[in-house]
Parts: sequence; C-alpha cells; structure tokens
Amino acid sequence: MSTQDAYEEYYVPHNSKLPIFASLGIFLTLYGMGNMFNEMSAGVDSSFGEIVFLLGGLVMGTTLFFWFAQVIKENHEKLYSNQLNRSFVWGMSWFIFSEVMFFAAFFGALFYVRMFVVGWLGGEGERGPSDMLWPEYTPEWPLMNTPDPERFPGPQAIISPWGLPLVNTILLVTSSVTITIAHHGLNDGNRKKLINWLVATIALGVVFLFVQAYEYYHAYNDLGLTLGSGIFGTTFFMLTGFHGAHVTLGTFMLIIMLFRAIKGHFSKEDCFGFEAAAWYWHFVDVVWLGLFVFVYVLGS
Amino acid sequence: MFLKFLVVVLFIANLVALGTALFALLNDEGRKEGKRTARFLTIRVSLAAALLMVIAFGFYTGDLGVGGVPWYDASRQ
Repeated sequence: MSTQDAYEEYYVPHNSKLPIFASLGIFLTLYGMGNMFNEMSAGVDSSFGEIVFLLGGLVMGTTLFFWFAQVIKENHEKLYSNQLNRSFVWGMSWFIFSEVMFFAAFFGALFYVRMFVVGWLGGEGERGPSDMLWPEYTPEWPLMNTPDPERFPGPQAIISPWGLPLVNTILLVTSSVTITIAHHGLNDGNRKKLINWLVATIALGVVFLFVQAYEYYHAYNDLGLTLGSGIFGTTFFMLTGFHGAHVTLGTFMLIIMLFRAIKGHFSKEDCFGFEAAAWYWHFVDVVWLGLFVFVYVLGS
Repeated sequence: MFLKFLVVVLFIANLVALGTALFALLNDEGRKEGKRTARFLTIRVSLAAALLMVIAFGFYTGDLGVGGVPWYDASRQ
C-alpha cells in the first residue's frame, strides 16, 4: 500500500465569505458596545451605540446560522473523515480553554481586589502608604465607600443573595437537570424525551435572563449599584454580565440543537454537537454557582 | 464556618466532575456506546443539587448570613 492510501481524505471546503462577515459582526458588536458604555457614562442621550451593537449581533447571528448550516450539510453529505472530526473536537477544546481563562481572569480580579487592594488602600501591609492619599477611607468589602466618593459614589445598597439571585440559582440548576434528562433521552434513543426536555431547558434559560435583566434594572434604578459605583459594582457587573452573555450564547446553542433534534440529526453514535452544547450549558451553570457562592453568599 | 467550608468543597467537587465530563467528551467524540459524558454530567448536576441544598440549609438556619448579610441594605449615609 502506498503512503497516500494510508491517509484518510481530509475535506477542504471552497473559499468562503463567511469569516469576513463574522469579523464584521464582531467589530460592529464591540464598537457598538464601547459606544454604548461611553454614552452611558457621559450621560449622552443617544442610541447610536445600541443600534450598532444590535446590528453587529444581527450580522453575527445570521453569519453563524449560515456557517452552522453549511457544516451540518457537509457532515450529512459524509464529507468529514475521522481526522476532520478530531479537528472539530480540538476546536471545541480551545474554545473551552479560552472560556475558562476568560472567567479565571475576572474571578482572579475579584479575589485580588478583595483580598489585597482594598486593604492596601486603607493602610494595610507594605503598600499601606497609599493610605495617605485618602485618609478618610475605610477598607471594607463590599466597598460601599470608595476612596474618592465625590468622583465615584458607592452604591446605597447591594443585592441580597436570598432574593432573585437564589431564584436564578434554582432556575439554572433545574435547567441543568432538564438538559441531563434530555441527554439520557438521546442515549436511550428516545427523541420525544430529548425534544421535550430540551424545550424545558431553553425556557428555563430564557426566564433566567429575564430575571437577570430585572435585577440589573433594580440595581441601577433603586440601589445606585452601577458599573461606575466603585470596584464592587465594576466586578459585579463584569462577572454577572459576561455570565449572562454566555447564558444567551448557550441558549442559542440549545435552540439550534432543538431544531436539529426535531429534524432527527442525532443518533447515539453521532451526537458530538449535542454533547458539546450540553457540556457548555453545565459549564455556564458551574460559573453561576461560583458567582453565587463567591460574589453573593461569601461576599462578606 | 463548617457550612462555608462544605459549600467550597462541594463547589470544587462540581469543578472536578465537570472536568472529568469534558475529558470523556473530548475522548469519546460523541460516539462511544459507554456514554461516559452523560454519566459524569449526571454526577455533576447531583453535586450542584447538593450544593444548593446546603446553601438552602444555611439560609434556613441563618448560618450563611440570612437576614444579616453584612452588606445588605447597608446605607452609605
């Protein structure tokens, strides 16, 4: 057998415009988001940032829809070899690694600020002399009184973990139970069970997002807890906001999995797409548990 | 204090179960009959439920700060 015969055929698609549209979508999303925050902090009454942000999201969503559709079509045409499937698995591995590092950075920032910086600013340890800049400042966590309260007024109050955050924790853990039942439905070859429990999971994810949006509204309008109200507000919104973005992404993934399940795309032997999306949902749930435990419950 | 320790231990157990499921997912590539990924994820969600119950117990007994969450409603004025 020649060396050439020993290798599987590795499908290489034709050139595609999709990555260009994806880049454009990412650019518009981030440019719009940056403008949105600038407008918010400057108190400008303009919706330019929001419109660009939504347009970017639309471009990105449409691009991904066509991209996924193409990959699924190629998979069904049996163009993919085992070697190419392993490339997808590696793609997923790197994506997960980047996600873990992303949240590790934000949790790391939270711990660093809480354990060290707040104390240093109050005169603790070898970096204590910075205390001379703000003699009135008292270190505490959560930081209700910032070192410079005139420029960065702290929040009046902070959200209790035992109200909406607890409800959201119950919602998300329940959604992990429902996705697990759907997963077992797939393994048992029971498509009805898979579809019904996937629908339940998506519904729980959407309710979670609405509760989160209401919580933000309450924080901004009633508690004075904003992105600009000192380091607690900043870390709180960075962590919970990016988590919310990931729940949104996970919900879209599950909606696509639902459509695929309805079309009968999955079998016991070919279900990496579903398993990866289900695992991602569990990951998002664990991140939330970390947030609930470290930001809300053990925040003192 | 014991409850806080238990909460942290259960959270770490969640991470370990999730990591094990990831290992199974990437190795089996959604093909093997053994379905290890689903099994590890079931363990993961059971641990999450246990964590939630411990938190609920702490909420009920007040050991995790119910009603007396140090910063809740703390006024700046």
